[in-house]
Amino acid sequence: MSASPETSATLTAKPIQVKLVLLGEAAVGKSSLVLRFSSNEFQDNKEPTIGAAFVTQKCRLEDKVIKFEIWDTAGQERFYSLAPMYYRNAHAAVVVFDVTRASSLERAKSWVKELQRQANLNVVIALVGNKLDLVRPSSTGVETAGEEEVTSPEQGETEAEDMNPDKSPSSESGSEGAESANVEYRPRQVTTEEGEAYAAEAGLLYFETSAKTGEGVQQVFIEIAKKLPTDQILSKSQRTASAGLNSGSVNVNLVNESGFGRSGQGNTADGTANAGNGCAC
Amino acid sequence: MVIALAQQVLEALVYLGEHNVVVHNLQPGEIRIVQTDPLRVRLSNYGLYAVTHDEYFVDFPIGHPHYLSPEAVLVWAERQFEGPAVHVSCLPTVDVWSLGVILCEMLTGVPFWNKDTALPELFATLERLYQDFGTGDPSGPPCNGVNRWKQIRKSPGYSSLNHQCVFALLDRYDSLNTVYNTKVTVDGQEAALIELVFDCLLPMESERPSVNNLLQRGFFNPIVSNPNGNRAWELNYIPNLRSQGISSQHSSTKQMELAAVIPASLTKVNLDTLYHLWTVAGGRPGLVCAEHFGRPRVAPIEQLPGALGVLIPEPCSPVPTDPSTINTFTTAVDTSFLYHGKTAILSRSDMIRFINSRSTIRYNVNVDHFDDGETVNVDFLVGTEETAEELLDSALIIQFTATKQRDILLQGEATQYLETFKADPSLPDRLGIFPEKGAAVPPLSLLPPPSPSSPSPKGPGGMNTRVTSVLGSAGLSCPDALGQTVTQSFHTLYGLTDAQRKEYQLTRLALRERDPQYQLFRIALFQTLLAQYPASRAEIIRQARFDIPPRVRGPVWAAILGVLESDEWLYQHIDKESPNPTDKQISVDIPRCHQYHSLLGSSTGHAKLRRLLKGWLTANPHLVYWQGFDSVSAPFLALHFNNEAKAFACLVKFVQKYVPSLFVPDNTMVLHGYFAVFQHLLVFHDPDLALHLTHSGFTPELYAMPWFLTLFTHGFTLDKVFLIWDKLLVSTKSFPLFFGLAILRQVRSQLLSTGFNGHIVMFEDKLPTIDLEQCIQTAYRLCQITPPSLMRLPPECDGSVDTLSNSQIPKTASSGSSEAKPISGTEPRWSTPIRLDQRQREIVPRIFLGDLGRLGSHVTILDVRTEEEFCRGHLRHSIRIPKEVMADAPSYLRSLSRPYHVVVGETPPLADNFAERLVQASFRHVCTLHGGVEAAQAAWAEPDLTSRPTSVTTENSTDEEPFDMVTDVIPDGLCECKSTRLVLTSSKGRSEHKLTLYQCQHNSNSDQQSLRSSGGSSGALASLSGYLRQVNSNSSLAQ
Repeated sequence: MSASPETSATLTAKPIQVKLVLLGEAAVGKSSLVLRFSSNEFQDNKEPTIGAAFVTQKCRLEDKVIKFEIWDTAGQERFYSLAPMYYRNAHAAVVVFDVTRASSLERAKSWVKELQRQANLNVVIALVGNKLDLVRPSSTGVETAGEEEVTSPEQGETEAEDMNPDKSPSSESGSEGAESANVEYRPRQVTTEEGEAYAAEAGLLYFETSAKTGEGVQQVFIEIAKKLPTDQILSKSQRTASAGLNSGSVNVNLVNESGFGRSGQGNTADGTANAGNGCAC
Repeated sequence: MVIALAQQVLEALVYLGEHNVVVHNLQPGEIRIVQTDPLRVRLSNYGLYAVTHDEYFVDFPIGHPHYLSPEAVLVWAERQFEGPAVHVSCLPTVDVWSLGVILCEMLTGVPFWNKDTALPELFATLERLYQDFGTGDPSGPPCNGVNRWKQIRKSPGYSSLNHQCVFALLDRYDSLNTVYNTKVTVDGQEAALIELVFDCLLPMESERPSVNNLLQRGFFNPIVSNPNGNRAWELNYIPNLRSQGISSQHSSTKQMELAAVIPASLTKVNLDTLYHLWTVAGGRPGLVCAEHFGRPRVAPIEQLPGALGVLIPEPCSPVPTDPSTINTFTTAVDTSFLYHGKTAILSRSDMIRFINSRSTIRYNVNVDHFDDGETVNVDFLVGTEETAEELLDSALIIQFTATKQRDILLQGEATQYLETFKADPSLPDRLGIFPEKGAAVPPLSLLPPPSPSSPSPKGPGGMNTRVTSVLGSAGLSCPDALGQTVTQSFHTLYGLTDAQRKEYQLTRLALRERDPQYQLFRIALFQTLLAQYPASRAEIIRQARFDIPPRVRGPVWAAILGVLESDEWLYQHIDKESPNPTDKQISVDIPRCHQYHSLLGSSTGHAKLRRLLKGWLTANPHLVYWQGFDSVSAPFLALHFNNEAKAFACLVKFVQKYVPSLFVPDNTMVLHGYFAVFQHLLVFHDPDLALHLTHSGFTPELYAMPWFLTLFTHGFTLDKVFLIWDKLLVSTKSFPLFFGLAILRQVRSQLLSTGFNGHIVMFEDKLPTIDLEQCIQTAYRLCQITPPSLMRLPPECDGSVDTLSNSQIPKTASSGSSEAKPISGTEPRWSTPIRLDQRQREIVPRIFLGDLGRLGSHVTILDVRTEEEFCRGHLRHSIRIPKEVMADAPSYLRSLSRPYHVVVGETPPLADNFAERLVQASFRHVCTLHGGVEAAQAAWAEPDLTSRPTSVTTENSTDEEPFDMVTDVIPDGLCECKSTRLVLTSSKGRSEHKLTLYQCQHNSNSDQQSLRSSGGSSGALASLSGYLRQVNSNSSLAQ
């Protein structure tokens, strides 16, 4: 998967633009994963994403620098019709589910199907089971545990999911004070085996993460980067970039295709312009 | 006296009872004497029991042990035993017992309990009382307190009770009773009072009379009506009543004086507002607590106004204060240290000083600036963007100078008080903190000299005092930091370089909000108006255009939205509970919605928001919950936290009015309508930026969705949302579009210097850091200079699409249908709504004929038709651009320097092409005429079209919308004159080029020279000079 030696010299200077889209049910932790990956932070009660949000983050892989252009989408089913706008031309997709919510895996599966049907042919899809910290004490999160013991975003959801029959009854009785004092664990509804089996069957990468503790988050993006056909992406982006420079206009016209407007979208057109920026791995 | 006290306390209890508040904390220390002759008392800390959810949140019993009733002690003991899960609420009659004990002590002058009674013993005694004498002896008279206590006296084991107190009272009663038959009135009253006391002291709560019952005792009313008449009882002992509060208040003579001269304006203000002003004046409850109680960390409960005593000699609120201020939220953590029973007196001297000090610095609230021409939309011709900007600046200066015109002093007395206070020697203490600025005084002629009547003995005058007072008001918190910003801003006011002026604009609203005097007057004004609502709605809106004091924001918003009480009724009856499929999404979103806000972040807040959302969904079956709607509801809930019904009514009205079709199950079309209009407005106002963003592919779809779907409630903190919505609510429905535009304008240079990836990075997280106030102003300004037809959403977006597609669209499609008169009641031909796909297709927006007329002399009308067509009929004053010179024309047209360009053509592609050419040449305010000359012909064919109100279809809602109605101005009739030559010159480098165009003859009476000068912003200049005249006259007035 690594680039040939002669191109890699140029690669170190020029980050490879990779468009990555995050999909998944509402409140499974998409934005939190991104936040953990991009700034190594975790935010309780992260506000929901409306429409979509963007983040860019560079990542060094062997001798290459990959610049992820992350499109974080809204989870609510209603925003479904907008999704194609975001996943079209994506090089990679991270489909997230919540390991304590079986329904979220079902939603993830339908996203995978849609991606395989509609998105780029070579799109690298990773299935990520998030919220590991809720099901067992995190092994890596010892140092971060201290700063985050107040409330977790999932706490609110605990009380919210009254309709879920499998939910542990313990959260019901907790008073306000007790609730914030310690993290309550929830039973796992999707086992690792189950997730892995599906991922293997559908040809996806599979990870389990906790955005809260940071466990496994970096791996997701590193493995995706490894699996990406970076050479192709680079040469393609160079082509479009130079074409863009020569003609003064943009070739790729995504938005027109999707029928959302007359404007062109050349998200890779200025890859060269940003190449000078230092790497922030 | 005792009776008066009892009566007032009982009345307070009745009032609290009506609001379901059990005091549970009635004790002499919490009965404050406001005035002795005649006696007036107030309760304090009456809300602790309610605030703590009937003690549920805390680990200690609420109330003083000596005044706790037997059942309260039992409940407490049970909780200790059973664990905190037990939640038992006490009946209101716990307070009756406490009152009984207090009265008993007052009548006898000795404590109810023996001095050395330990708490366990005391509690045990109470429990025994409850068990032994809870139910009356069937043989005795029922529910007679005196008899019951006679029994108690006979029983052993009540040694903790002070015999000098309760049993002495019993003796007194007996002795009175023996005389009673012979002597009359006075002693009879005394006996009745003692009976009342013992009835209050019935150990079983259900046997005790209710407060209402007690108030009906015969002796109450006459006593109060003639308080000095029959004073049967000497006031032996008022335990604790003259406690810290009053005595210390008067200990300092200086404060005494201050207390004596409380501004009359303050006496009309209720306690809530007073507290608000106190904080505005720099008061920090946390600091006071730390100072008095020496605890660095202050629990939230102590910051409640109820936990501190604000004492004002003159009554300024009914007794007790409205319990709506009692927030039933809390997220108490360390409950055992929450209560200490101490009281700190908030020093009001600072506040009063600030309110009194700046007598001559009156705010000239220049609301006229905004309603010049009555509506916002009409203002769109104030001038070019630049002149509008200057206008704002000049208005700004007007507002902050010490002019006497149109001040908003509501009460004459206030002035009087202020006059007296000018001489207050304590004032200059605050002066002199300020750096020198005499040298910096103004190069600017607009600024009138400081008012000579300034109270300040030093410094250049009124400004100085004002600034200093603001400085002083911050004295409690952080004088340095605030002082600096204030200093800076006032330096800029004097210096007024461009960059500095911007900086000042940034702080100006913030300054106003920190100025207690200003806030007091604004609050008083709005409260006066609100009291007359709904009749005063128009004036409320007018005033709100200037600003809304944070204190009254909730009711003012409701008034602007036209919420009536009847709107709130619906909420009581609507289903807010039954589960539905949306619950899951709502439940996930609520705990993530503005959680930094202490109310919305609480569990009570979660429950309220959920009910609100579910209620709204039930009330609007055709609408659905979109993620982000929680954020839209949040501002209303935060403002009306204790009145869900009001929040609900506001929300319903708001959605109806501003985003009627945004929350439909499939809002794709609506959102894209917004995006299309937004894109057009961007092209209209900033063609360079628009083209740059379009080229890099950074389309509104990608970044503007949360803006329009949540109206900026998502991504901005609530305090910012309030500011944005303050303007949004008094502006047009299109304000969100302009606010988005303003955001882009603010980051314009960065946007222009980067490509798509740069844009992404910028929009990642930078938006909350934009300069909000400047943005709001820019948005307002852009709004004013935009023809309303440009901001109209496509018909798909307002739900009227069905009717339109049936009747209207085919007509527009068919060519030469000028004779096809529109069906009455529908849109005339020349203002047919433009459909979404059309808007998406066209780069340059279209203007409606009705707006064209209003552009008057600011517009260059460019006709791109052939000479033949032009001669057959053209719009007056238009200029014909021959096809062959179109490529060159833009650079020459610049010399006309008119702010608006409208391209007219019979054949749409040609007009559009030329308009695009103009846009590419960075011409601002370019648009094409909707319908072309044909539309104009159709319009003139119609009778009575002068001043016909545009039927902005969605605005014909039942609610009057004074700020959205626009009157069309149809330009002069079609002109059939022969065109004359118009030679424009453009100098490129050394050589001068000439281009020949053809213009309507009616232009030629003014030669090119005069055209140059009269064109452009002549109108704007005129209006600006009008303002300048006003400024000058103001300043001369001030002199």
